[in-house]
Amino acid sequence: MIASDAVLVEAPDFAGVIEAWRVWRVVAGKDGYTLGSVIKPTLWPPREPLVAECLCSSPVVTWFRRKRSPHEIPDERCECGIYAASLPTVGQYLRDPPANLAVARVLGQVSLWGRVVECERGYRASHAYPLRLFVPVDSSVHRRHRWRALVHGLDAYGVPVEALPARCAEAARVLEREQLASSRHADGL
Amino acid sequence: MEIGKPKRTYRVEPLREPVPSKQRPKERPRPARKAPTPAPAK
Repeated sequence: MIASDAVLVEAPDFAGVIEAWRVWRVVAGKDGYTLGSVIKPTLWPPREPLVAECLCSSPVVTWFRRKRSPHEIPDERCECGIYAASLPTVGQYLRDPPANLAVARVLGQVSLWGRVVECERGYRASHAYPLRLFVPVDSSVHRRHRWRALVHGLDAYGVPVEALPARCAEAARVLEREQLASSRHADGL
Repeated sequence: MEIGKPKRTYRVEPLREPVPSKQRPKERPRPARKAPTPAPAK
């Protein structure tokens, strides 16, 4: 084979997915409930991977940047990508009331893959999908959207959805304790 | 989200599809109820 015929295949550094935690806002629509990012206006489509775009600046600046020096998403020099972190880090985002027309906030584990930037306290990834969702008892801010209805409605994502009998303020701590207990049990302690 | 400074970048390849398929699992058809057996004629 001559050099020009060679196909460059980038070998993965890690086989599998990276599992981390994040908080979502829940938006009610005519098709049911949709997960949304807490900070950006991005919505997470059910049964489709979320693919990251660079949303770090205004559309005009982004257009100029792409013309001059397009970068891979996520890039270490930018702040783009789908964010996820450890339970204590994401827990604080569950305490704030949901914004952007959200009816509730939930937390859960997320699978990350593709291009992933590891940071000091979390990750930024190019691809993501929820792995498991937890709905705290006071997650809803509207009476119309009750706890059980949220649990049932988020079933559209096709992943386990659990009603968490804890308030948002303590949900991360409760799940952390559960994780610790299950890892001790697995270690036979 | 405050996750600190970048440390390193890597490429992650899933071993299996991380997104559930679009087709919802079909519900199992309920077994047909047996017709009640007629009481024996006295």
